[in-house]
Amino acid sequence: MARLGPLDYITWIGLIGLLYYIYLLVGDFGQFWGSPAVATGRISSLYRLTYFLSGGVFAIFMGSLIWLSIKFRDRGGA
Amino acid sequence: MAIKDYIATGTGSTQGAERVERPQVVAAEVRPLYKDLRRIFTTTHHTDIGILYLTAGFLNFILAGLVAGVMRATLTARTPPISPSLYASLFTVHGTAMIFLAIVPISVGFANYLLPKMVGAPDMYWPKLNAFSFWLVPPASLLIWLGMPAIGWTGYAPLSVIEPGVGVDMWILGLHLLSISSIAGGLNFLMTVFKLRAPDLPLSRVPLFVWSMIATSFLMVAAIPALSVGLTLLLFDRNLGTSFFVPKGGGDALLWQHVFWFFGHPEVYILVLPAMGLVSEMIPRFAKRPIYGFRAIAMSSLLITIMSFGVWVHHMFTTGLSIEARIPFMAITMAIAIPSGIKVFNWTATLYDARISFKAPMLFALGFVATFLVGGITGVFLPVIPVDYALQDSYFVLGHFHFVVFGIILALVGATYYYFPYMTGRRYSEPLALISFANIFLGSMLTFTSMLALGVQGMPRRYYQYASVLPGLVPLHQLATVGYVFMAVGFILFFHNLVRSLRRGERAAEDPWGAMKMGLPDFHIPRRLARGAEVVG
Repeated sequence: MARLGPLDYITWIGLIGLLYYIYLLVGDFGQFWGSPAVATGRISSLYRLTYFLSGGVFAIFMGSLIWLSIKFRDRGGA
Repeated sequence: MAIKDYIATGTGSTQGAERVERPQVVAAEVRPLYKDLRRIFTTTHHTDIGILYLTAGFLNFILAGLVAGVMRATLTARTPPISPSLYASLFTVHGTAMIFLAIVPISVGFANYLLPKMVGAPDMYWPKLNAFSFWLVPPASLLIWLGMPAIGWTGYAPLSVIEPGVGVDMWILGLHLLSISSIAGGLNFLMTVFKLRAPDLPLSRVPLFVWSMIATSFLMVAAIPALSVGLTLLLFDRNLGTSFFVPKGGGDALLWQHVFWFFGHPEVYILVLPAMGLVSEMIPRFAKRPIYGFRAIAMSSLLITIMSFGVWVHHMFTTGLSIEARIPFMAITMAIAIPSGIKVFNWTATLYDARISFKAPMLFALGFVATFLVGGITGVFLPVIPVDYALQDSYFVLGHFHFVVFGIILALVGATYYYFPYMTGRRYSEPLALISFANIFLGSMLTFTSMLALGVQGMPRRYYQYASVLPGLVPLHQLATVGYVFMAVGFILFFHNLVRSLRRGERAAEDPWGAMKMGLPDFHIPRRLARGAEVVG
């Protein structure tokens, strides 16, 4: 079983954090982007909460998928 | 018998052997199926039927993709090139064709080709019924494509009742044929696994694709009859003067939504479970290690099957149902993310300590996981009832669904590359496949992320014109169209690669991916053959 060093964990967690930041940036930190609907104002905090939480799950899984794919790529040799 | 012949013919099982000691035809060994017209129309062998399903599915996929191009052009152009009613017809047949005529036949095609070989069965349990199931697809395709109704793929009543012309009737009959095909196919798969499985292969050791097909087949048999009943009642309403879905005669338009979505949400899992099974086969081969959490993935398929019958009302949160009726569906819809999450976790964990080679099938499989993840995460927004009120019938729903469904297409394209050497005896061009992946993946991200953003900004689905009211949305629609162009280029390269390789591809080895060498064979090999077998990899 591969043993990961501190640098591995830092890059892994760093990638997850970076993805979460990009996710928040793309979604304007959970704001409805100038939506004309009146009802959206009433549920904006609930939408934002859902946005933050699901973004966390997204970043953990996507970050791990990308990091593991790069870390454990076949480098040839034995 | 050599292992290669065994894989190609599937005549190695002792159980039911008396039924199959007839001459078998093999795509890779004899004349290719496409050169033998008589065989195309008379074959009952599962490998041939599988390839016919795949061909029919991909042909419908091309047509439905072209229709999507016309719709994207309409939404991007300053002056729409088509009429509003034609636009409505196009989004109806695009949805219907992609779901019922493309993804289901392609998935069933893989199941036909792979499932008997994976369980050591000589053929499907009912080969003639299997051929019958396939031959219902072409007439159904014709009915749906020629009917071109303008009612949306969900066919909501009362519009679908009052819509004039025969288009809706043709759509109903087409879906009826596909329902019969799917129910018969589902029964056939279940019987093949449970009655024709090799005696030395317990259920605990069947591949994960077989587990996913057990779950899918159960859904086909249990959910699709609801659609058949609904379609029959709709046909009666349209032609016999009944009023099941028409309020004027004492009926209830919402009844259609209940019947449709009772079938419709399990249908999503009928689409996605085979793709999940294929991905569970491909990832370990290219990671060069066994899948992590085999039992958890198998059981999560069954859990999804059961839970998928308890979520249909989340499509109807804004129809005025009581809050007591909606809350359990909200909870179960959120909870169904758990078995899906188990799968994603296990696929990701399989990569740990692996030696991953990034061949095209692996890239498409990982692309599926990434795309499905986005589809799943956006799916968490929609069961939150107040949020659903804001996003219902918007492009957010469209983006969410396209992320899920396009992920399935990525998995199916990856599986086509993966099993191409087995099916044809030839290898595809790897560089071309990698370029096609880059185009398809980048294009899908551009198009469907734009759809999500459009939805959050208030773009309603199925609208023909929007620019005069919502001019700020034009750039995002243009970006979505750019993504479509990338996807189109990718798929042209994909089909070109297949056709070119079919005739001029390099000869494939007996074990094209080295699966047997690494102890993860793609198909069931009986012990008598496996002992002392020499594998050319």
